[in-house]
Amino acid sequence: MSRPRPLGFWTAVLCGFGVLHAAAVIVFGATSTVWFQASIEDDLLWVRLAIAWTTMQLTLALLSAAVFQRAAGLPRGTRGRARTVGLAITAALHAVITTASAGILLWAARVSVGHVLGGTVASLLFGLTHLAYSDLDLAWVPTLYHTATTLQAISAALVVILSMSCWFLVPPERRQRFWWGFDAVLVLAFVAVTVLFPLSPSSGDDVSLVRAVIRVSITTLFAIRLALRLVGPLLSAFERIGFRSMVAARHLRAKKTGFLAASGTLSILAVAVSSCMLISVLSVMGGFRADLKKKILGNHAHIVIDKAFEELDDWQPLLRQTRETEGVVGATPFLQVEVMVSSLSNRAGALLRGIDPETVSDVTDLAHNLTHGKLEYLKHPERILDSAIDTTKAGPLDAMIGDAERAATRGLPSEANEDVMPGLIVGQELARALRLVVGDRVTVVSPRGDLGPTGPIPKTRPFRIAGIFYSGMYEYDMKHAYIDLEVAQRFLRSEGRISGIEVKVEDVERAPAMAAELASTIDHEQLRVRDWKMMNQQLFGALALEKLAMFITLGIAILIAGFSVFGTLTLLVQEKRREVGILKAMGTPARGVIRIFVIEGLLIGAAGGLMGLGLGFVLTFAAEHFGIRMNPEVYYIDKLPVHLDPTEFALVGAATVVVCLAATLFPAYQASRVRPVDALRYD
Amino acid sequence: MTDPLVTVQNVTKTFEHEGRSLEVLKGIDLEIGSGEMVTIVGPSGAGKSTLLHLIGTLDLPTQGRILYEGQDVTRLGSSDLAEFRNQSIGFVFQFHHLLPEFTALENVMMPGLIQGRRRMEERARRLLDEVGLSARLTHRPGELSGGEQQRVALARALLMEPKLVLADEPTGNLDSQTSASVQSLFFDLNRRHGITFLIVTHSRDFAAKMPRQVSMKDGRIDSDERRSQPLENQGKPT
Repeated sequence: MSRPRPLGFWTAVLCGFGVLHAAAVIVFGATSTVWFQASIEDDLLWVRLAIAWTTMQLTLALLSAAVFQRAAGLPRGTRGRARTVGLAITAALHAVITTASAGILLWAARVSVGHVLGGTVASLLFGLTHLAYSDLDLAWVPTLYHTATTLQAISAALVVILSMSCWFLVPPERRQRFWWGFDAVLVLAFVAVTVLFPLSPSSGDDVSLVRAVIRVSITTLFAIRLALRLVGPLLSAFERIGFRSMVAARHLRAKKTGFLAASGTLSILAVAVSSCMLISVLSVMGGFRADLKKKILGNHAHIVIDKAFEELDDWQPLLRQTRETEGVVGATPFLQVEVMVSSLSNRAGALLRGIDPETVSDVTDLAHNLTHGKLEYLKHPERILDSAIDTTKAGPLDAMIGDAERAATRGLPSEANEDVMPGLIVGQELARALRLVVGDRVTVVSPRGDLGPTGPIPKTRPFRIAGIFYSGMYEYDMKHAYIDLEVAQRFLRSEGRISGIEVKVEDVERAPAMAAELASTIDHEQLRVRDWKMMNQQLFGALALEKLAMFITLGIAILIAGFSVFGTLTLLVQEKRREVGILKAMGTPARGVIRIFVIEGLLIGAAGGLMGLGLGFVLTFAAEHFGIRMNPEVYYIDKLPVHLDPTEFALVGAATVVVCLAATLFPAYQASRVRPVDALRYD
Repeated sequence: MTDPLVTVQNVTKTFEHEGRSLEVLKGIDLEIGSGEMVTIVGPSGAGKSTLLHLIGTLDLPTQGRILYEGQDVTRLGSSDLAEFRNQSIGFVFQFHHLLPEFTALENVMMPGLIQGRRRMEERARRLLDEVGLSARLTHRPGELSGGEQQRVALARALLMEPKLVLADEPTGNLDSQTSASVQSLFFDLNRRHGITFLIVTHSRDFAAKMPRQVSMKDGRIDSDERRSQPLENQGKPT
């Protein structure tokens, strides 16, 4: 206890500030591109940022100087002197490096947009005035920037590590006081963000996104501190339950055995990380499944009634009967056939569906998915020409097709443009492939033509694009085209006949049961009634299999975490051999010893599992509400879909507990086999 | 002497070590009466500790029987044995063997806690008071001196009001003054509570004061002397 500790206050402040600073730098570095893009024009913001930044660096530098002065004044060989001096020097270097890299960033950002001012923030910061001219060769800027960020990351990591190791040089009372202060600030911050900031951002608003991120971060930090504060009282409460839990809790509390404490912490972390990983991946996969399901159900009916190889005659009574069935929300007839669609520039195969525009919205989301044009144009094609097509509305399609291309496609004979032709709705990808916009003319070639002297002659017919839809599924957007049912019947020579009826039911999950019910009530031979699960069986089967494979693969991660629990417990048993001997000599039965160690393992597992699930919840919550953006050109979705399933959380939690329980059994059994005579004989 | 508390009948103990068997006890017969104070002396390797462990049911004899108030404890199952140890026997070891994570008070309460008894605190406090440690209740073993630890161990051995207390070199690593105070504590407890003590010791002083002295040699009982006049009253040792 005679250890000299003159390093108290300032070292503590430097440690705390250093860690916060490193965190801030990392967050700032990770989001800098977004920041710069969002606020490049806002001069005031730059000045504020620069002031905040400079203040922070100056504080860090001054703190480092103060600590350095004190630590260097200690006699050589004093415990912790080298560490503290190292921390002070690294922190000062870190301040310099971050200033330099932020300066480069700011300066490069200004230069690259041509705002070259002698008095830019960058030049203010570190006198690079002579460099701040746009005629300079800027190729070295990215290199310098990458070097700076790398150095920044390294020095930040060093500061964090050194702070952590110096932290324990600070006297415990001081540390405790620091935490009280920290927690008080944290509680205030928590209350403030809870009152002021939203939990989920309003869409497309960067400020509210930042606020939501801040709120979630502070709430998470608050929850972590709260949990840490509660560990002590919880263990005490646990001790009061009984003898076994008392011994178990005391064993876990013992800090004397340093290695054991470290290995216990590592086991908890291993369990936490593996369960967090498992639940995050499962949530993302669940998100993909939910996304896919939503899209499939949006484009497809829940139930389809059709015949295997023929079309349906006399379908009106069947449609009426279907609509009257309980649980059915809507039903609509359709006629479909494979055709070829050709524009002036290209041609592509498509699945042409004749639909009833009045009832189709009862069943699918087609009307909702239209990005251009209107569903009513199918019934009233003349309105396509009347309506001034709004080409200024920038949709994804307009962005993709350049003005020049559109002008070229528009080069139809002017009289052709005047004709009233039946409307055709195509998917976004098909429109892109054929370079179409609403109002364009296309030719549809049907295989059902006349029989000529050389064989069947395909029938062609001009259509006018009445609308473009985006379903979110590439296959649909590439393959589907819709026309009016009556037009289709005439064009395809199927007057009065349809391919089938699409049905929407109230409860999606009950669709198979409803399908069976419909099949039994319809007294029509050869009719088949299929639900969406049956029709997409392969897809969902593959997804389920993939998810199971993921569960097993990542479950192995939990298993490995279980090994770590096993190792920790084996060590604990080795270390507590003598005490087990004492307990047995005093009359603890073998099963009591087993229970003590099982409880210890379960406590480790439960702590890790709770931590992992909590962290997983925060991660998936953040991903769901803040959105992890993805490139829609590659993935066809614009953000990572995430679906939080409470059942899965329970399942992962249960799996964790089971694995940890299994891991404890053998060490606990070993402990119960310790013979008091052997354990007590030698010391 | 009243009816025997413990009867050891023709007990042998053989240890297997690397294929060779080592006979540590070669047929021991011993009777210990209720309220007696017995010491076992003898050179190292004579089998004193082994005999003590067998009587304490920490180990099972290779042959022979150990009767406790007429009941053969060598035939009990492991959980019955555990309960028997808990209820009827108190141990005091040379290295006291306290649990380091628990305070003195909790250590003394431990045998009661094992049984799930919760109202032991009062008794534990009284026992610690009796051994002179009422000011050290919340100290951990690491914060106590050797003699204090040994007294805590003694208090712990007495918690369940056992009839028999077994002590293996209880004063083995204490200085003479501390060991004298621990010894007088033994005599005091014997006199006041009628507890039977079986003490293994190397200390001639201590052994000389005991009313009955069993000396062992090479796994056999060499001599069993009873003094009519216990020496403990003849003044405190120096």
